[in-house]
Amino acid sequence: MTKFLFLIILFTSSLTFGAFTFEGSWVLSESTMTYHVTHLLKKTEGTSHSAKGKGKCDKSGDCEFLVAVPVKSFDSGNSNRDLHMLEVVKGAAHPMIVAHLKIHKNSGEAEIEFAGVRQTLEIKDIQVTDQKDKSFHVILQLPIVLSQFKIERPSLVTVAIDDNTPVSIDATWRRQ
Amino acid sequence: MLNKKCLKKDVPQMPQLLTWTKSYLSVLATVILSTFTFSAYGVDSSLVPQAQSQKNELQLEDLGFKPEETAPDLGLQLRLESRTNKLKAHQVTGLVTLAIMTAAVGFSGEVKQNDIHEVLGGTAAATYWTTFYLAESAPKPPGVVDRGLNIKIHKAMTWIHAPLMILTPIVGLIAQNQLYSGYNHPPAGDLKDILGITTFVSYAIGTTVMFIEF
Repeated sequence: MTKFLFLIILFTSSLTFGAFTFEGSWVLSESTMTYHVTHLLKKTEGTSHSAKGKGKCDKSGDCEFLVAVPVKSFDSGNSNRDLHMLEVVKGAAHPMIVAHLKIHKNSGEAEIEFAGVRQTLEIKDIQVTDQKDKSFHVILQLPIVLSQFKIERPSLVTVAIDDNTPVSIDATWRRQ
Repeated sequence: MLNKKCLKKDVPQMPQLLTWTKSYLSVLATVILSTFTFSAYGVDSSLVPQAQSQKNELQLEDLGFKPEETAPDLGLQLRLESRTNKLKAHQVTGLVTLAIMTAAVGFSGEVKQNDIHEVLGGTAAATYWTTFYLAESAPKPPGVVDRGLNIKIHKAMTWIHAPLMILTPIVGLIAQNQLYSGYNHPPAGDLKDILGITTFVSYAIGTTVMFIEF
């Protein structure tokens, strides 16, 4: 009888701890955001770890997040390029990039406010890994197209950079 | 008599007047109260859910950024635009200078035959100092520290080619005077060659390094 009870307790506790639910409030604990610029002569990247975010998920797994990052926090390893980027994306006049994310399972949409322009983008292939009771890790890519945000593409030796400048996001969320 | 009777019957008596007035006032009060109630209800129904939805929706202010981080700085934006414009012009005049310098080096062997080297050298000096001015006058926001190996090399090379761009033309003029004075092989000529080549090489490194990603 004791053994039987022990087994029941073990089984129910394993079910309880094993089931992961997104329901609840979340806060961004760690993040890496990287923009990828492609030019005929070279490829460059700029990274920021300064994003902040909060979000909520309901029982069905639908989540809404608000994530924001200061434009000037992106570091490409070259101060000249960073200042030029800040100018091109009107980063002093519009210092924040704000994203309202609506996610359901592995896809969703993001309303991005960037360079004073608001655009809604579709997000595909959202990878959610390391789901623990109090945190989860998410990797996604925002398909940013500069012309959609009325950003004049910078050029080097009269050749402009590629219009597609995807931003990859690697973020860890923890329960609030 | 008949008329009097009629009048007596038609004209309302005092208690009847009071009753009418009471009913009129009660109807009026009902109308006023209901108007207030419905209008008040109308205001509530339009505002309360909106206020609630705004409260539920996350705002940028909820994320905990400092006010100075989220506040726009239009002055900085203007300075950055001015900086970009000057550095774009710096890039163009810099490449033009490199082309003219290359041509001047190419024509250095014909110094005794024609003045092409001198003209090209003079033009290179003019475009060089224009390039220099554009870089130095480009406003840089306070607190920005130079990062990136290419920009560091680019600026380090300036310490070599900028003094040489003063010295080389002076030595060149001395060598030219010696040539006109009858020297077949002017003594300052060799020094001019060394200075000229060093200027050209350091300038070429400083320029091309900007197109290389380390």
